[in-house]
Amino acid sequence: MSPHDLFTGALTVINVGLEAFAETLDREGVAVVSLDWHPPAGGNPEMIRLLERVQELESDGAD
Amino acid sequence: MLRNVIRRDSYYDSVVLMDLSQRLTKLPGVSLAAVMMGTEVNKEILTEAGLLEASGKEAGPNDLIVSIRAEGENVLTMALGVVEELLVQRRAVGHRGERRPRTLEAALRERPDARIALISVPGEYAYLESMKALRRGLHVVLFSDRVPFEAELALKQYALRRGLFVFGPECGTCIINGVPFAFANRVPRGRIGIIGASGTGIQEVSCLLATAGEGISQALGVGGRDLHPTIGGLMMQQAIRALQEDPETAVIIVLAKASSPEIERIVFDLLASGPKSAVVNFLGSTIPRAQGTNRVRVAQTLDEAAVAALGLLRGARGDAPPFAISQQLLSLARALSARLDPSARRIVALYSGGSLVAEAAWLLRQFGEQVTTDLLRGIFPPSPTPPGHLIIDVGEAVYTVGRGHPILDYRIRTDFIRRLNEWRDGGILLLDLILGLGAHPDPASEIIGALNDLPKERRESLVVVASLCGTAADPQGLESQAARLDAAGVTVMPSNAQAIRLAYLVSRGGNGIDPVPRSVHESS
Repeated sequence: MSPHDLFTGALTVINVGLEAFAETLDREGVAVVSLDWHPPAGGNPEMIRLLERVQELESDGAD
Repeated sequence: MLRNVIRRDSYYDSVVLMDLSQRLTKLPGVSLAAVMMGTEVNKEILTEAGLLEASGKEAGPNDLIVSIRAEGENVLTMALGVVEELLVQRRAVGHRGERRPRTLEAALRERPDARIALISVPGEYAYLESMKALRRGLHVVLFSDRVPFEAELALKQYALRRGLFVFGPECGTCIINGVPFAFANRVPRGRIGIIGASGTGIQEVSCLLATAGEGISQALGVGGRDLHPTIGGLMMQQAIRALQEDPETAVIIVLAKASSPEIERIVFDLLASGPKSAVVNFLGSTIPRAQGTNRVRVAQTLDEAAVAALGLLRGARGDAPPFAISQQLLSLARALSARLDPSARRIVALYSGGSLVAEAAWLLRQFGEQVTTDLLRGIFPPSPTPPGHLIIDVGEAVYTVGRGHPILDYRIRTDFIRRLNEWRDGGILLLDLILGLGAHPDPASEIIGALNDLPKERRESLVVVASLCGTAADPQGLESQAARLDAAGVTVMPSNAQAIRLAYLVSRGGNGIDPVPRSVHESS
């Protein structure tokens, strides 16, 4: 994928976090799906570090 | 009486909770109220405010703490009923009442055409959520703050390998294909592409261009630390290359605070070796303006960057910035300074925009003025009075803990303005008011309300200078906001640099010199 491809065509957005941002996009006529987001692993910092580690290992493997 | 109610496994975002807290505080009989997630930081804030009971201390980061101090049991019951009603409305449904997906996978099943994720979760979760999005091939606009350097670097390195962008962290502003993300203004589409390691810098320049009748192709916020040597300008370089390939972009503007000379040079050379005209504004940079070329110009202020880009686009040569000190400005400054107590010629600047506050400190120092920018523990008015002009960035964490960003939450600034009655050393009040999407719906009313609360004699001795960052198309309306401020005795200037120049001249009794040379056109 070329980064420049982002500049062509319409954008559909996935909103993760502040619902107010999705509301603004929607009002501006942008297609947006907003996640019902909750802190992963109940916000447990140790579990989050483990999840991050899993992501890192999987990302390294993706190359 | 104080009551804490805990709702287990009940997450709501900070904007929703700030709104709820404000509504509760306005209820008759409620003296203080706060609704927050039970993170350690939030529990400390509640403890300091005297709002945490033993039951609240038990709450975890995924639990909601509702804390209300009220006159009696009846008021408490009513307030808790309001909380229940408002939170039930919000549960698992979007603002249109639709059910919202719980995972990114589910969202992508719903909209497989999605190409970009806007991520604004608390900083400790930002890496995880951003990496999930990148791995699914989505570009990321990352609004979250408190993202560690190593996380930012890992995200950007991964994105680069996949041909994706990470805009941010702390990306305050992006306009991509005309879609405004986070805080942005309604500006027309056009031929100037902006890349900024600064949100309010992008807003200021895109608004000045809009006012001059020119639009933008893309406005890309790469995050304030992208040019830090640790990150090495990874996204800045990728963004420059992308705009160099973009047929819609004729002129590129790069905005950033000064970085290391090596990284500034890499950016400058990338622009100089490319096919398009460009303007760079590294605020406080080591690259002198004289190193600019016919095609790549070096601007020293944001408004100068806008003017230089217009010159390049329209083929004008040797444009002088329209905002340099003129006879008109000197006359205005003399008239305003006549109101000042001669012993109170100090500027107090209360800023909400990170790049605008940096521009104020830099420009005043260029004028040879002494400036204090750090206030210990955020206490205002400061005691003892620090030397020189006082510049306060109310977007700093010390002021925003437990509040919204000052672009939409004016409480800190209005509170400080009211306290100017106790502190007579500051005779000149300098403000930035940022309009646009995501910003406060009516900043002028907030500022005018606070000024009107000052005793008449204090109000009359205070010179108030403001710049408005906005466009005629913004929801607040640039002209109507400016007209109301003007009617309230606030002098509204067309750019931040211009407002700083005026405030400086007023502090000098209308006798100042401009050490920043006027010409932006330098050929090598």
